[in-house]
Amino acid sequence: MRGGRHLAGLAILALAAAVALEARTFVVSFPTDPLGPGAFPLVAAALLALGGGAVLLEGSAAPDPLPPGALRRIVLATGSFVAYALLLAPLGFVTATTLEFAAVAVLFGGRPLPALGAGLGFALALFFLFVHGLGLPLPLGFLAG
Amino acid sequence: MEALRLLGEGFGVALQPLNLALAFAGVFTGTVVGMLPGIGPINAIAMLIPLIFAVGLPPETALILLAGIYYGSQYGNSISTILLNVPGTAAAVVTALDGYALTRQGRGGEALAMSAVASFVGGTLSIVGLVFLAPVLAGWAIRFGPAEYFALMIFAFSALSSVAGNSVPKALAATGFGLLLATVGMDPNSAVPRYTFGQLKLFDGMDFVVVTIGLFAVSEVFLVLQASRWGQDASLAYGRVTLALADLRANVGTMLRGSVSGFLVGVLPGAGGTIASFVAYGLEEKVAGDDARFGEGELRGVAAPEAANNAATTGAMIPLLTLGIPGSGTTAVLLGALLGLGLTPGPLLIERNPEVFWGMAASMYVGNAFLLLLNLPLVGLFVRVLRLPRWVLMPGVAALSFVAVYAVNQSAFDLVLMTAFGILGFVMRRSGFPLAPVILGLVLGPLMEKNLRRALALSAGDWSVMFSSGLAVSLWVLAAVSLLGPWIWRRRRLPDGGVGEVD
Repeated sequence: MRGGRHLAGLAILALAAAVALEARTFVVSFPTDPLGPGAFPLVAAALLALGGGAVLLEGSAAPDPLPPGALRRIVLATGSFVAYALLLAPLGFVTATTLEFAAVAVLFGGRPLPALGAGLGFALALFFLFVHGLGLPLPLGFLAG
Repeated sequence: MEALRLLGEGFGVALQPLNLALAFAGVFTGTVVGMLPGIGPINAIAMLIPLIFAVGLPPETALILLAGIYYGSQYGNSISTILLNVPGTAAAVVTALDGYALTRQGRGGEALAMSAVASFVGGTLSIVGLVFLAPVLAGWAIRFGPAEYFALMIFAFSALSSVAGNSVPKALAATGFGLLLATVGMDPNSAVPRYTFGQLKLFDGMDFVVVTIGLFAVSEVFLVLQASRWGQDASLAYGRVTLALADLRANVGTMLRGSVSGFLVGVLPGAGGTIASFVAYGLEEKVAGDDARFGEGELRGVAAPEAANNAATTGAMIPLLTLGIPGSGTTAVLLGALLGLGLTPGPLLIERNPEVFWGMAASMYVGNAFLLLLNLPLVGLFVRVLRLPRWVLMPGVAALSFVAVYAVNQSAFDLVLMTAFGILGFVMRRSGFPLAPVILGLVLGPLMEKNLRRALALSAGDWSVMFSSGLAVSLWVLAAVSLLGPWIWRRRRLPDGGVGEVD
């Protein structure tokens, strides 16, 4: 895995280059201060380049390979997080959170029905605590009618 | 004794019924959230900040709640460290050595009681230090100009980089990434959008709550998910949560030494609780000599780091409140909260908002007392939460993260952004990149840029202004020494040294 040792350093250097290139497009019609908006991003890019270059030279041991099934679980969890973000408003907080809790619980080895039950309990508890207790706006969804 | 009179007024603020109730609520919720395996103080605070904003409390009351959460989450972290051997911060790694050894001997309850008492002693003594040292430091910091502030922030970064993880290059890259995140959004000086890719949602910049919860809490869910089997400590037998008087007496010296050394280390920006607990543990090993059995269940091995850690927490408040410079990921999150409450930590805070500063100092004391009086009897309740199976705990962590992030802007975009940072945090942690510098960079970035641009505007673009005062030059030198010194030293002494992730 020689490529793995250099992957992190190369990725950081590429990011630094992209940041620096983009910083050159920050132009103002009449300058308000001698540095302008592009200078500080260049400082960040310089730090990234310095760190990335040193990581490249030092070599960063590739992380241990993921155990079997881990990638699938992580991809599914990520998908469920994104789905939750999209479904929160249409479904409402309680429904969306119950489903999401259950989905993550199943990924962690829970059985579906108890997972749904625990999810509903948790969602209702959060909902009453935050909406009624703290006045936090959470979407009600179709349950509000 | 001006300080004492003001502290008395502070107690007047802290002891108002609402504030007292909130201090307790903060300590309690902080303990529960901070106790969740792998969550720790930084996530507990980041998750609860949006709720504090949402309720719209006055600043001093909100700060009291925050301080309660901070102390509570540290104690909660000690509970899971001692009983489950899952330290949520690097500072707690030291406590795990003897704390978990005691649990395996069925003496976890004693370790928990020792931890609570030591935290109380450390917290109490260090507040005395805070009350006397903070005004002095603030009076001195009033002379800081933009160039000095910039150099001071460089010092904070290099101090953090030298203790965060075992690779200075990785910490530098993480710092650069944090500063980059700080520039995302509309430039306040020129209104030029930077790194927004036309996304209107990014014009206001990256919210530190979204980034923190993504990088730390969501990545934790992924990390736990990655493991193929989840060991569950079924029994969690811990015995009675009491401490024999003889044990208490035997640990008085340990707690005092831990408090003093922890406080002194905590005041240094970047050092924080991690170094403090390592130093205190090492010191205690030396003092105890050969007859002690450190690492095999020695109560002093719990008392020293716990006292030091709590004292360092208070010590870290000094640079945070008087200079506006956080020294760790957790205090960076606190700084973000202070700015969000409309307070500007800095030399003028004590003068302009005395009720805030002294009220908070007093409520830190009240919070510590609550920890001791209420959390010890409640340990049984907390352990019941820890006994919940993984498949209930981890979705709960995820759901709490969602609520906290959604509360910031009521935006689905933030939830997606949080997930993306979760993946990034997962990859960074697996590859050995420290996360704390990212948060510090994100929170300090705007202040740094403002001071840099102000300094150069005053000098009409002459960069020598950055090194024009003796104070600025000495801060630059300190920064260079703190960054490179430990690196060189460590490369010589410990081939694979390092203390892991800092709090």
